Amino acid sequence: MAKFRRSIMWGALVLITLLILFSIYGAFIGADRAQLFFNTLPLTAYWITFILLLGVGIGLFRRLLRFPGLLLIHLGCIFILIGAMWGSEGGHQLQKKLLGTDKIQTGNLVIYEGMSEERVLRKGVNVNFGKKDGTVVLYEGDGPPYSFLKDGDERIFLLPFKIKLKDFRMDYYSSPRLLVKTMDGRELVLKSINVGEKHDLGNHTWIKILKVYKNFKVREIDGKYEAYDQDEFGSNPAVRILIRHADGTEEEQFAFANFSGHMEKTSSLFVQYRDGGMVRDYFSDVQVIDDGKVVLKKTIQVNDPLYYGGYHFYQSSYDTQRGYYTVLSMTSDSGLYLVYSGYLLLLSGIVWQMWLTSLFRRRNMEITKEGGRLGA
Amino acid sequence: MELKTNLQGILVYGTMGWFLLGMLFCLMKREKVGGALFAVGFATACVSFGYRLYDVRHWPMQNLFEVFLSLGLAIYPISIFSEKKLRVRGGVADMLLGVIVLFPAGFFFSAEPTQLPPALQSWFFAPHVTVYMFSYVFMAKATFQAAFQLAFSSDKSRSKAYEQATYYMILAGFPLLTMGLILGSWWGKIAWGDYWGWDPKELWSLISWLIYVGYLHFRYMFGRKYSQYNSLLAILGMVAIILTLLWVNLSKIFQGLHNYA
Repeated sequence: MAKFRRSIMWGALVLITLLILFSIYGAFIGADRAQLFFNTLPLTAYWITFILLLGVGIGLFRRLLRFPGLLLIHLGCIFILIGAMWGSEGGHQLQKKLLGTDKIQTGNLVIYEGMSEERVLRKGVNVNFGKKDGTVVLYEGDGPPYSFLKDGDERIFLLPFKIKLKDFRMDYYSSPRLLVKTMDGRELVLKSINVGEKHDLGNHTWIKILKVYKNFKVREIDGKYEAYDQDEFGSNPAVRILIRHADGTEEEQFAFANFSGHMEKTSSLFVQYRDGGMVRDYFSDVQVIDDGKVVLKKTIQVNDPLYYGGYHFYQSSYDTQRGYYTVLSMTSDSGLYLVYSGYLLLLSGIVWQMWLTSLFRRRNMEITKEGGRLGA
Repeated sequence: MELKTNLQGILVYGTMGWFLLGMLFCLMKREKVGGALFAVGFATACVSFGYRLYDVRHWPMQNLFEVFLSLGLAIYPISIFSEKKLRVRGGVADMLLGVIVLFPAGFFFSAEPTQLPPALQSWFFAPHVTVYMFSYVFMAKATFQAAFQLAFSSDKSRSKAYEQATYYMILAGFPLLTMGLILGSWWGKIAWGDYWGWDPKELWSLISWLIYVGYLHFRYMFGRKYSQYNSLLAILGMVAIILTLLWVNLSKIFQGLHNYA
């Protein structure tokens, strides 16, 4: 029996060493390939062996039963491994076979503002999307003729409910502002940019905000050029301002966030338009629509996902040009609570065994006293 | 290598100076004076950390400068705790450790304040990194003890004492290391959608944890007979921690979700 216990312990050390080596390899090949590697058939066999060895260890080593902390640690590891396997891609396929549940492990949703979506692009599927005749279409190809993805395409998973995007917005660390340099060398920062607002620059000079553009464009109408805000893809933030000088003369000027060096020849002021700098957070205001009714409202942001129908939905990406759509990543909760229970068991077991039972127990302190003060 | 001439830099160099002076007095057998200077160094480290907190307006453990600044802060309380409660004395080694961890903050890493990206704006940020910092200091102390065990392996009594001191430091640090790993995993689920993303930093953290798991199993089964191997495993664990903390963040080989650090 002692020999068998010894060989089980050697087995544990070999498995730990192998996992260290696998992890070193995984670290060098990148997260995506590492995930595939750790889910291959030989590695699945490895994980099952690990679970079995932990189970056998609990049965063989009385110490594991005598010390509750040690038992919790090993049970925690079993819970984590089983939970992780149950929540993996293979685990979801197994659930479909055994229980008939139709869930996917992970995927992405693209939702336009004001529209509802139930189509989830499965992991790794990379297709184009856009608006056509008031609906969102998924298609392949860089140019016409495009190949449109139809309902029932195996690359798309249909949720049993819909998610509607009410609004997508971003919050910046600093708000957009105008930097004004006057001819006499003064520099002013105008932090409030609202249409109709007047800013006194001193010396009987002021600036009035006439219009704020998200995507500044120029078009020709009846031989005249006209600035307008184009309601399509593209981003060219700009402001149109009216400058009133001390002598009573007025002039209009444009300032562009993307072209900070722009200066009109007639101007006696140098005006720069700066956007908000680094993004503080992204927000998607969504509604969950189930059976035609709004059942849940939530603002999804980074570190605050939506949970509904056995899935978590995360702020993943967005329309970088205009902010018209959001991209949510979706993850199944299968096995998650088993993993969390494992974490709780593992951590409580480690704290119990190492801090409460071993480290601060009087018996150990006495051993220390025998050797005098330890250490350097 | 850069010399920091601002207040933050002066506070870092000041802390290092007090620690070095404390070391010098301890080596001259003036341990009480050395201990007092170590405490003054800690007070300076507190001011340095507080100033950084005020300057960046978030928990200052975002980049490598702040991480090493925090490690320098954690040395003294852990040293006192280990000596008073666990009877593992650090003394000169702890002061040296303080100088070693503050050196990169003082001379290598930029102290330019940076804003927190959205993923780091979470209540997990402070506890996740803080428990890791404390565990790293315990494991660094374990490494010193393990090195002494190897150096004095011919002296049975001292070798045994150093081996036990290594074990106690690992017993103190390992639960913190586990907490860091679990908090990170839980946070990953909330921020990125998965509790385990196979990211290089995650894998290197797991490797560090597994080496200490290996140490605990080996010590239980074969440790009395082969105590040098226990010490070697403890040192190997620290090597993995250093790789996790520095190589993964500085090298371009390991691109992943943790690259902002």
